[in-house]
Amino acid sequence: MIGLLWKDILYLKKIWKVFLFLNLCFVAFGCLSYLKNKNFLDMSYIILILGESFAMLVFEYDHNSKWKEYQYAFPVSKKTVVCSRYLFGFIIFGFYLFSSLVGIFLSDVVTAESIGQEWILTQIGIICWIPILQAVAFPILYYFGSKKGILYSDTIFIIIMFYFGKNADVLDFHFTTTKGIILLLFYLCSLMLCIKIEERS
Amino acid sequence: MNSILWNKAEKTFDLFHLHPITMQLEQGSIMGLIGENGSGKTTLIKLALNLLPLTSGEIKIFGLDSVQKETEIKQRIGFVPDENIFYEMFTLRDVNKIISKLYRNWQEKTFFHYLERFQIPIKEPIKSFSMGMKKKVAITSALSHEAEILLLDEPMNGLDPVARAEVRDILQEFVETESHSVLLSSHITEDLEKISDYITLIEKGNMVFSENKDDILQNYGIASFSKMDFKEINKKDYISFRENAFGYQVLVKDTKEFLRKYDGAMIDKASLEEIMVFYHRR
Repeated sequence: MIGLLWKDILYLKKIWKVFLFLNLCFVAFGCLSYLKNKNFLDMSYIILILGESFAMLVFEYDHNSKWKEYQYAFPVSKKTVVCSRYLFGFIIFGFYLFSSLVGIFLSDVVTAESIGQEWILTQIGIICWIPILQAVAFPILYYFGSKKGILYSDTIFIIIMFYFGKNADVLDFHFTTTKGIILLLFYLCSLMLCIKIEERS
Repeated sequence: MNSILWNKAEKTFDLFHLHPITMQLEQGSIMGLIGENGSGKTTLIKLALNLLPLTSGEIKIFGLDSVQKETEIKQRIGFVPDENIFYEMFTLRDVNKIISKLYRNWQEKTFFHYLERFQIPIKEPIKSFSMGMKKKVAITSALSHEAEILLLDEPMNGLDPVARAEVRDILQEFVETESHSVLLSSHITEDLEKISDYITLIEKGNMVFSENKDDILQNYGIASFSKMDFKEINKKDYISFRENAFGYQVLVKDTKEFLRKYDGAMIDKASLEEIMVFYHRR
């Protein structure tokens, strides 16, 4: 599993310039948004896009390099392959969660006023949509393959974003322990589903 | 003792059928797989690796079931696919980092030793490599985890004659250890004639033969006839024929037997390439 995870992390390392540039864009956009709306909601949408895209791109690289076709020539089981991909997705989620909290801390320092616990929990709640989107996208990618899978999951993603945009005022993104447990269960169910799909393929 | 045993191994696709194949790869030997494109060579290798599920039959590797003991078996197999599988952006240092975590017995020293022997730059990304260099990387990876069986799918593709000779030497060194064995498919039959102990010919999804190479080269022959004489030859006594400016040539399976029947016939030894071509004409 470590070897597979290492491959995905090395891929991120190789595209660090793109990764850094897009994340800087996200920070800049977030700052502008904060100055205008006094909240991080717009910034969070960008995080969701980035969080999902970087995880999905690995599928495309696996497909293009023929890794997907030949990875089982190595001594790895299908379960291990799927678990490592979910772990990678979770690492990306962790990265953005950490970055957001650092961003909030820095904005507190710069503006010399606290953003408040409510907003922090809301921010965490929004970031938690990264693993939710991954949990939706990964089974689609495993089932349909990277080409069709990215197309289908992006379509679902756009619909979700559209729904968020329309209902931003009424949606409750506030993070709670219950929501965290539900998220974890949802992620695990998605993982089990992907293992089933991969084992049948 | 055999390293791999294909026991009535069969695979059916929508447009292709690999008919039940029973053959074995002996320990301490090199087996060459020959056949035209799409004949089923890669399928046979992929079935052994469980990259494709069997339609029926079974494959035993080291006496273990290839499906049930898959990961355990793969620790002991080195595989060279017919194309590069690593991300083109990776360097060989990256490849080393990844594969070293996948194999229990990964030998970093061996990996870098072979790379040096093949003169492959370790800091350059794979995308800057030629096809031959990518092949060498795959061969190096297969040789660096103390594998006991090497499965090589077109390993000589894209290699120049010098590199091919080097790979041949490495494979022969590899089978010097009695428990080691090699199965390689190649279109370059000249290489197989030089290093193989056994040859398996696959034609349109059927195994034509799997025999000792020396026996094949000794027994098969190409007999030449004028147009008149050719009419006298019984169709059952040859595998196929070809017409040329001087008359006809036929591939015969047993030269001695043929000469006994057709005394005075002109027979030359048949190369693996000629055998393959004649079988294709059947």
